Amino acid sequence: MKLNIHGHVVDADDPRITYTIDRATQSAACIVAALEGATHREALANSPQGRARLAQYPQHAQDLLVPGIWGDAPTIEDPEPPQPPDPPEPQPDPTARIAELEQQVADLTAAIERGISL
Amino acid sequence: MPSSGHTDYLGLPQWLVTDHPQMPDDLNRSFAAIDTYAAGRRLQTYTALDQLGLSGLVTTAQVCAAMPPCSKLVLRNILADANRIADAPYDWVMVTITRPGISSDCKCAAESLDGTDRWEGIYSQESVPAFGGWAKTIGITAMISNSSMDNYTAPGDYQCPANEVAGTITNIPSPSAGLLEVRDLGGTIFQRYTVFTGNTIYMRYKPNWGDCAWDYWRRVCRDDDIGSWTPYLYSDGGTAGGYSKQYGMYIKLGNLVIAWATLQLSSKGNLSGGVSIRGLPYPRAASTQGYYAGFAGYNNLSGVGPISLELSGAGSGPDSANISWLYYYNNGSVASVQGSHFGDATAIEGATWIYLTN
Repeated sequence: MKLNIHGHVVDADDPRITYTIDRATQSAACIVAALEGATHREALANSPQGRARLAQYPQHAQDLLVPGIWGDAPTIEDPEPPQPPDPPEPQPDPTARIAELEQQVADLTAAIERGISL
Repeated sequence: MPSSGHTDYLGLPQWLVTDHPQMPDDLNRSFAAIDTYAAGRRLQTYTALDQLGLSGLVTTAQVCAAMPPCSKLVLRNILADANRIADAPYDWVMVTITRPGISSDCKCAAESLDGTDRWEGIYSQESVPAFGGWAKTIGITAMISNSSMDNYTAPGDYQCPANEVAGTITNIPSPSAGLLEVRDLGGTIFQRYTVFTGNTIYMRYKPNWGDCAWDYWRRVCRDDDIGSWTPYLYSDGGTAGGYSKQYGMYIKLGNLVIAWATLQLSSKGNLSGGVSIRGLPYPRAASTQGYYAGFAGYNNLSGVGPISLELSGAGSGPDSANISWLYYYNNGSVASVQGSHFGDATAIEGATWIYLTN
């Protein structure tokens, strides 16, 4: 995993990086990475996806949370992803619609002509 | 003619040190160094100012100037010399002034009755002024309930021991236990309050001109209030194949987080289904009302309109929200950006979030 720490793209297991945790609770935490005075952070949830993300950090960073604070299992669930938009309703065939309108015009014309003849 | 006397401390013939014409300089210096070392072990001790020929009120500088080489003065204020050193710390119980060698340099120290307060100063005739003043080095005074921060103006350190006490102190920047440091620079008073939990720091000052009141408290911006984060795209179908741009920055002011990021794919990878941006630096507070917390520009993202960024999160905990879904308007309704909208060179540029954290 790559981290972009103030413009320096480095591997997460770069030995120059110092890891600490901040705002750690049983449900979430921030992983703080410091490199040459620059700070990088990421908020993680103690969910299956959050723990999978934590697993991409070096072992000594994971040890800051697991198992001491986060325990051995997720405490919360990941959210359901949003669903794609509903497909648009099918539109009528324009040729059939034109024929339908033409028939209506013909019927009205015929009705008018009958009215005039009366 | 060489003297037949002896050096003060080793009993060496004095001519060796001072005036034997045949004695090599190096050796003379060596003896002098030994003599100085010995002097440190055999200081002449004085216990009263009159032993130094001083009478009446004196200053610390006058006392130091009266100290003979290799001497030590120990005063206790229970004796007659109490308050005779006009510029000594006001509540000292013991003052020690040491002139360890033949130079004029003196080290001055004063201590309070309970030993928790200590002041120090240096006297040297090579400096102007020769005595720079007493500086408090340690000692913390307890802040008391129902007091006002405005009244802590005497230079020193003060401790607010508990949140319960802090809650009764007026004009305190945070109702939390902490350390108050007060300094006086030419009559202008500076206060700095460091909260024990989280090391939040506040500062203010009271100018010494006119009738200026206290300035308002300002929270000090720390290094980690400004930083970087690494955004990445996530979907249930998988992650992006790679990035040609991937960076984010943030500023945190109190509980307000302003974060921004730019991403550009080099490979779409396995993105499919609803896509989110992850890696945000702080979780969203559960109380944040601005659910749609930002917006983003984009390039090579097909079939979508202007993007809004929704902050969501895992679970329902107060601090578990750290995921930002991408949405757009679709025929008047909101729809999520899907992996199918992405291409191998899609860029999301200037994505910006403004939200509250806990």
